[in-house]
Amino acid sequence: MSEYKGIRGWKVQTVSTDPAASLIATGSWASGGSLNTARAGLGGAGTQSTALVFFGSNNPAPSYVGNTELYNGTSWTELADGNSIRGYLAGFGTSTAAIGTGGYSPGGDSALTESWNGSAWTEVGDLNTGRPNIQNANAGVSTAGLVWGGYNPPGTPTNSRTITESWNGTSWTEVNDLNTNRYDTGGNGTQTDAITVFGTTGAGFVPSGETWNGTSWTTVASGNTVRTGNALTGNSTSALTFSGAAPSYVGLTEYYNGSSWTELADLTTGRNLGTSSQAGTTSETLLAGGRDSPTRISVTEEWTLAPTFQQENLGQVYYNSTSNSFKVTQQSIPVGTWGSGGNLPAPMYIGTSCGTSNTSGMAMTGFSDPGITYSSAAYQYDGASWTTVASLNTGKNNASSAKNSPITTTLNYAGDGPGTYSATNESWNNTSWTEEADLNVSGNAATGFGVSSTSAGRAGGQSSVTPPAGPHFTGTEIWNGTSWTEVSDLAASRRYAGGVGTVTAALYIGGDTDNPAFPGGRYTARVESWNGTSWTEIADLNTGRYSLGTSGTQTSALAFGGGTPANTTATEFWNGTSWTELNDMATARRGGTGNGSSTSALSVAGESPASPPFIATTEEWNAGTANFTITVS
Amino acid sequence: MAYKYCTATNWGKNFFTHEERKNFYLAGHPGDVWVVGNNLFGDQWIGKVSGAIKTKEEAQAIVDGKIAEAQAAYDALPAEQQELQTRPVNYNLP
Repeated sequence: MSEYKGIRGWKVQTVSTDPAASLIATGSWASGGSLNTARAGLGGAGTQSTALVFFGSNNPAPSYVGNTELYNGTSWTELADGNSIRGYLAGFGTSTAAIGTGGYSPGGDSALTESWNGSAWTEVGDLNTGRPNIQNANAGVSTAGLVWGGYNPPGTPTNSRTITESWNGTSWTEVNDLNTNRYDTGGNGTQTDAITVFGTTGAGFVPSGETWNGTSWTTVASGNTVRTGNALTGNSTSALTFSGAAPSYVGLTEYYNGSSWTELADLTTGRNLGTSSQAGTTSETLLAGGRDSPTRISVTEEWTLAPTFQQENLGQVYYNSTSNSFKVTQQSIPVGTWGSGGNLPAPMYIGTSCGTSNTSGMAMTGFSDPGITYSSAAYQYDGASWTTVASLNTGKNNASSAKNSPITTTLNYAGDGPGTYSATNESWNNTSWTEEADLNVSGNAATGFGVSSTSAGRAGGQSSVTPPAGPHFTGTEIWNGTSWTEVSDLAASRRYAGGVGTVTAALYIGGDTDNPAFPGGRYTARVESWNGTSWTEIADLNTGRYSLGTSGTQTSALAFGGGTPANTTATEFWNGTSWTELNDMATARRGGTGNGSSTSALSVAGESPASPPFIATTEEWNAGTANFTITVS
Repeated sequence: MAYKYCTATNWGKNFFTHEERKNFYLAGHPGDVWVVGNNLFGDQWIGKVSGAIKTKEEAQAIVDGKIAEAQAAYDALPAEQQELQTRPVNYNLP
């Protein structure tokens, strides 16, 4: 029997925690000094090592305090009290220049704003709308701040608000509202760059995030575990949210990278309504106070990243002594990202491609700037650079290829030449192109699938044959290495769709229906699945699009880029059941081409938002890594 | 500021890596304009690619100029080629 070390070169180690997948994933919470006055719904300001907390609701609830405390990285010291007592207020700024505003005082909803100068509080301009439950719904510094949302009394149209107010150091001005009314939400940032996530409408929890760009709020990805009373540190492109009531008190921590939320290490003490260091960062912040039951607590925890980080090895097996389980570090599609690949020797638009991974791809035909409108060029990619290989016999645009074939054996067929639809067909043997038997029906902008020069399919597109079903072609033909056979039609006619798979298991993804009245819109999210006999409609994409890139198989595929009609960077993953949005490409493109698998793919060239000229840049998709428990049945 | 703006030429492989894409927002736009997440990792990437920092207004002007050039190029195309493309439209950087 072989030993694991002999197979992979690594020992199976025993560890108490899973290895981290990224620097941010090395973060952890450690205990800090306790507040002198336990409280929840308190205001916060400053950084992890110079944090300020003020006001809040203390024990026994409901009672309120005006206490101010300063943290030095080790312990909290009492400073001068505020001029009022209240809780559930907003706070922002630094330990020497902070603002506390709004909240709830024994007299009711408060609009009071007080300014801290490092030694004392002074009353300044009131909010336009006094309101409570805005702790952590705040951003900025003492001269430029932002507060949003809040609680609305019963009997009003909703129990929560969308109102946003901007502070200029003197007075508050109403600006554009949140998209979703909410209170007890977590937020942070600056007056021109803020983020908020979670909270409640009063009628139910709010999962969504919203980002503020200085003018308006945009709804962004929802977090993983919806909750209220969460705290947050960061901004619209890098944020950490932690704690909350879901509805039980949790210590969950999630990181937002500008597009999606990832779960990280939990707090030791689950709670809600604590405050973070409002001027902290995703590398260093803290959480002070809150409640872990009706009782307010004094607990402080500090978040820091590891001083060093080493990426784990793919395939590493280890024993986690805490969870008492064997685990392995494996590829994980949901945490995949796009990195830049080598540039094509020349731009390419509405070309086609094949290949098995982002280190083995082939792209061919299409437009090529400058001035080559029906290119016969072909290129192969090795993971670093593109090499020009033998050209096809016939140059064309909008051709199809056996998308899932390796670069050593493929087929390029149909398409268009100057003013004509093509039925021509050429096979590739890794050295040269050979003309093969024509398709039965000429056409272009169809979807190609298949695994070699002797096993391929063509579906949809546009053709001189226009069936009664729609403005475009629905026909499907299968190539067996000798001839094309017409088989069952697609259910919905469309062109410029994406496709992946084999002649017995393929997908037809999205496309342009050329019909503004098509259900869901002209640029459709519709997907059909081929079982070797017939097409069946399955779950839609999240975003309808055409001229997109695709990779993978019938049960595990990616769709990326395309026109919505605007060029998009959006990437979606098909797991055999549904489509999930993943990390975007860096460059929006349409009319590019894609190939590979769902764990290793290429997005090649296309039309940018400022084409012509077309682009030659490529992007490589790599699935990320994550740790999975090994189960033995 | 949610973002920083710079210009840098995409040299291809490793211009931006998978690890970098985990750590900050990055979006490419016409004219080699890059919109970069405003955090430590974004700053490090700008340094790596020798990005020339622009204000948002300067970056938008570059994009607008490239789109204007593309619109003129599109308008000059024969109808047959116009049919296969879309006329570029102006848009605002985030």
